[in-house]
Amino acid sequence: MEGLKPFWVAVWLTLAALCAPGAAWAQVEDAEDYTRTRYPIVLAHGMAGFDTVFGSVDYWYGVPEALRDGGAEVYLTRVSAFHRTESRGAQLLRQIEIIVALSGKPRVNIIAHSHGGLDARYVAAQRPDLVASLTTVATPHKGTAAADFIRDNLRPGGLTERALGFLADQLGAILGLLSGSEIPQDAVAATEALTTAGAAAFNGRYPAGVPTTECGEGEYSHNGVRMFSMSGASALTNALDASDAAFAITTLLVPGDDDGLVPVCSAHFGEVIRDDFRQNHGDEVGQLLGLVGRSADPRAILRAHAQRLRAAGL
Amino acid sequence: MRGLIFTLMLAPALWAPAVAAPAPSLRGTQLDCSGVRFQGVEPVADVGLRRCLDHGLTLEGELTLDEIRALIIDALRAAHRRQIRGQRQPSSKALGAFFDRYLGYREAEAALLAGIPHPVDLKGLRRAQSALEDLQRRWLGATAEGLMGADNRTRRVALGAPGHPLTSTAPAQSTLAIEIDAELRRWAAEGVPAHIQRARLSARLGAKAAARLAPLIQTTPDLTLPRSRAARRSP
Repeated sequence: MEGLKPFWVAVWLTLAALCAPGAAWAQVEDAEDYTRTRYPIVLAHGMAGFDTVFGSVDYWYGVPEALRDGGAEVYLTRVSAFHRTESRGAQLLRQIEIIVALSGKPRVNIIAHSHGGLDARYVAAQRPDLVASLTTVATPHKGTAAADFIRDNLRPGGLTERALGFLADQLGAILGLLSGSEIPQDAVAATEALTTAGAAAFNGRYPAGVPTTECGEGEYSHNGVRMFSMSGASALTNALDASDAAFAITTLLVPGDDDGLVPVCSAHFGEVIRDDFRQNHGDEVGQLLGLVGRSADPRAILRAHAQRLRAAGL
Repeated sequence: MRGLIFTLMLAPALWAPAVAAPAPSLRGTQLDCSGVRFQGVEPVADVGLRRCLDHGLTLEGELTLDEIRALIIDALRAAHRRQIRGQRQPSSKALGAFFDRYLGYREAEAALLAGIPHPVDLKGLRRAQSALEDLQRRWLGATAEGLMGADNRTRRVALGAPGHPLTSTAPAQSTLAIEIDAELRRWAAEGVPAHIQRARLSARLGAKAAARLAPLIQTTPDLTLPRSRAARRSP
């Protein structure tokens, strides 16, 4: 009997080793649970945030239902399309308070695109008790040279009329397609928030999660809020996408790698999941109409991220 | 006996299938293939399979296409093992061929879209959508509808009737916070008494949710917040 002990130990170890991968899979064996996070997921839109494209298609194209199909409780939010960050953040906070009340869950997981990431940082700073995690997607935490350029040149004499006209046409095409709305009165003030100077001032007030090195990671957690970021690094991804034409222009204004608007290093925040997805700034939310490159589907990327949040108990 | 023990302890390493090194962006998560269903050894061409393939392809840049192919085959075989026990496994060759066909379609799709002249207007988008569906049928055959059908239907409605409310595919529940925020602001602007607001919320959402929302009820407009588009649009 005594001599058999090592044998049974070996058998046990072998079985345990063989079962280990299966045990890991067992966490998500049911596909209906793949994105079933503990806390609701809140999707926060970016600058020029809009309700619909062509009056009816969603900003986060196909994302809410893709997350819900895996069991997540998903809420969209809507704040001013163009406004300073603290004002948009206050609106977002109000809606998150409502979501907490509606869901009966004490906290939320925020996933925010572009300017929405700054709004969400304001929320996390004001009410960390309501935020389990904050994931920013292509948020210019350190500003973007594209915004600097627009701020510096959208005045008489800043650019040749032809060049300015072309840029304005292209940007107008994006805004028109995406929002179908009028050009807001406070777009310049909103742009200021995304300049390098505006972002630096904001970071001075709300530093949590922002990398202290030029292109490193930030702290992973602050006041109990887990922090992640991701972004694309391809300006031109889909010839059909009207926004590609604009991003082809704006990427020239941004030194280094970028998604057409936001430099990859500026998008770093908290734990950087990846900063070179083959996406441009529109692809990151599935625009236009889900016609994104073969390796750029945000539904796939964000479902996997929701699974990550779930695995982390968030 | 020692030989047997040694062999058993080494067994996992010897039997483990060769898989690609995990991509950095997979850390803390897993390939989205748990939703793939099988009929016998064939994966069912539906949204679950599409999600598996598309998630694999997002790893481009971190892994080579060969590595992604291997990862997907491994995940599909694992999904099959969990669903159908005691039957033969789908062959790697067949699963790999399916992946190659899907990849081929996506490459053809990119080439087609690249050939469309700019600027693209609504008419151009409609033509592109029609050409895409032809391409899908040619490349994906009977699997085209299952893999691409839902996206096609949404785009067709959007492009055929801009402004049609059906094209918003977001679950109704997902916009609830926006609606409640707009209603609370409107009621505050109208000076609706708090008890009336709470009664309305209770009728719509139930007593428990209304009780949780009660601290957010205001009877005068909050002038510190800019009015949202939703609030402006409310009647």
